Amino acid sequence: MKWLLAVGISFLVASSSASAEAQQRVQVEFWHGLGQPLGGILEKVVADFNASQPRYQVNATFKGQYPETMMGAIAAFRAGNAPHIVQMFEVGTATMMAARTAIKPVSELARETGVSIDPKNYVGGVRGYYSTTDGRRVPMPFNSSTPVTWYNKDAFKKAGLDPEKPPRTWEETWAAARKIVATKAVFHGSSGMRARVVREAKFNWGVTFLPYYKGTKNAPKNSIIGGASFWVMTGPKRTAEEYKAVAEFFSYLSRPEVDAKWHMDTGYVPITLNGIALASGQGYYIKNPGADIPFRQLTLTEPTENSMGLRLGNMPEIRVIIQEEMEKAFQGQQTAKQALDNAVKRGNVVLRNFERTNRP
Amino acid sequence: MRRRVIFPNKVLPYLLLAPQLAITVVFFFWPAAQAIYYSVLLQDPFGLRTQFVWLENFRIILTDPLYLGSVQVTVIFSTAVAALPMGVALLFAVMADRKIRGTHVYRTLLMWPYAVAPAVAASLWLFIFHPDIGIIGRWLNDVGMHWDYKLNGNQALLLVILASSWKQVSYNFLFFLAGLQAIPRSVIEAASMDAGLGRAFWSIIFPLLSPTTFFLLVVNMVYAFFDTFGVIHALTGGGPAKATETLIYKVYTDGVMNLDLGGSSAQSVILMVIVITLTALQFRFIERKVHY
Repeated sequence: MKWLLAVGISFLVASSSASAEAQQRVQVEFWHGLGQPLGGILEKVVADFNASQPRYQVNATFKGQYPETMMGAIAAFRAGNAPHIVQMFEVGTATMMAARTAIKPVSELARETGVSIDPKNYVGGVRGYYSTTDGRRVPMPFNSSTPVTWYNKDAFKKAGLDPEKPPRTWEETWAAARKIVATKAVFHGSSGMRARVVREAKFNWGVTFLPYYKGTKNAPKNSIIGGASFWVMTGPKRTAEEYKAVAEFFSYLSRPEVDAKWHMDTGYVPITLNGIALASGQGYYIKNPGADIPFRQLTLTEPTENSMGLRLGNMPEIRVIIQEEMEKAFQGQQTAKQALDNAVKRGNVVLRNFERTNRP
Repeated sequence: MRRRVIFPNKVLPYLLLAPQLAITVVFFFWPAAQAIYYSVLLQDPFGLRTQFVWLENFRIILTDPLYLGSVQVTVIFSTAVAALPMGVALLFAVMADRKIRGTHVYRTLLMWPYAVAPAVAASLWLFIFHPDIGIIGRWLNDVGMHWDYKLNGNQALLLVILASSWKQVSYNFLFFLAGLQAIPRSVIEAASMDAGLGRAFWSIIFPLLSPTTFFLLVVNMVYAFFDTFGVIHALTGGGPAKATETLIYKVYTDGVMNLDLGGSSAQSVILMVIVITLTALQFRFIERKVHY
């Protein structure tokens, strides 16, 4: 019996010192919403950060797609258990910005911890979207994308279209689509799809700008941001050390080599000026024609009032509404104009609700 | 003199019941109470600003045409998912009750779908009926029928009804089979000799099955209202254009996707009231006709 007790105690001591060893690093919980392969690439970035310094450890967890991750983070916050960092898609930006004390703005984080995350390093459109109207940066931009056109060059050739001259206007796209009997030769999707296309496409593919309507004044203009950013969440037991860890992690992410590598691996837009310079200095855009199209499209012109980006309250709900009205139009239950009118009407109700629940 | 059995220990019964009661309280009563509490509040998703709004959430929902549309979908869906499995299962049970070769094989195979998780069942149906990659889906398009449940609301509703019913057939089959086997052979033989098997079934066998039928009716209805969430979520996500958005699915959409906790909780409360009412009605009126 005494022998058993001795074994038990030594086991306890050994395990507690082992956990003390692990706890020497400050732990940071980071929830993200990227499935494979992007999630794997993101987790590699996190692992690189952990390996690059001995004091902090960021634990990245995939919590489901963006809506599930958002709900999970909110539920965790209500239970007092929020993660330190959560990746939120751009559609949730307004909801997060209205979250007041639940989040810690990056500008505040940088000031408090003394870690520098230089705002001027960031591309103008990205910086503007993720700042308040008085210029305070709120989330940390990371994986910004923009929709582009992906097309199947083989299908183009078979249909007698020039694979190097993709359609630039919607009118041309319509004409090309009719020529290509097999559909799915063209789709418009996030530039973040690049990783999957490179890996999985068994055909020759190309990427080009989104189409615009011929005859639109001064078209094409710049496209708007998609993707996601990292938000810092507060919690009842947060320590200053943990916030410092978060700030150091963000500072690491804004290094040009990290930004450039993420951009080249995934197709997300490079968001720091130094990162862009590094990538083009390495000849990346010469070896991969078209890889700079998302970035060029984003910065095509100075943003006008209509092209600064969409930041609506309760935008996830509004997006679902737009989708539903479009589905009804596709089923022939209503015309396109009716679909848009209904979407506007329903969307306005959602915006009024957002206003009501967030009245200061 | 009859021996009376009195259990002497006063505490042990409660101790034995305690685990089940704990689970019921934590997973049923507590969330229900929370839903009732949230349904009279208006709050932002993070819970930082909360206002007390009485029955405002209920008023908004009951006057919302989208909610009434959801009620309509639910009525169609639940009626079908309650009736279809029962009818099919009864047929199978009668057929499997006979003394034929392979009867054990049939019974075992007929029971397996019940063990399949709803999301897995939905994935199976998806792989069969998907317009691009499903065996039957592609075949339907090849023979000229425009099968695309991602765009056609009626087809989507049909598909989720079939997928939900498929699972429930096994459960009903089990109970019907047991119920049939509890009827003495002599009764069935006498009735068949007298009136032929068809008449014997409806006049004698079916009434003797009525306790089972009643029980299954209640269970199937609850299943159709609540447990079909997984199938709908995995197959159609409530779409297209809300064609398969039942009441329970709308609770999820409004609560989790749209982050409207007050409205979602109010819908939960209404749904709870509906199902309690339906069950009470069933016990009151239909149970009278059950011969025990």
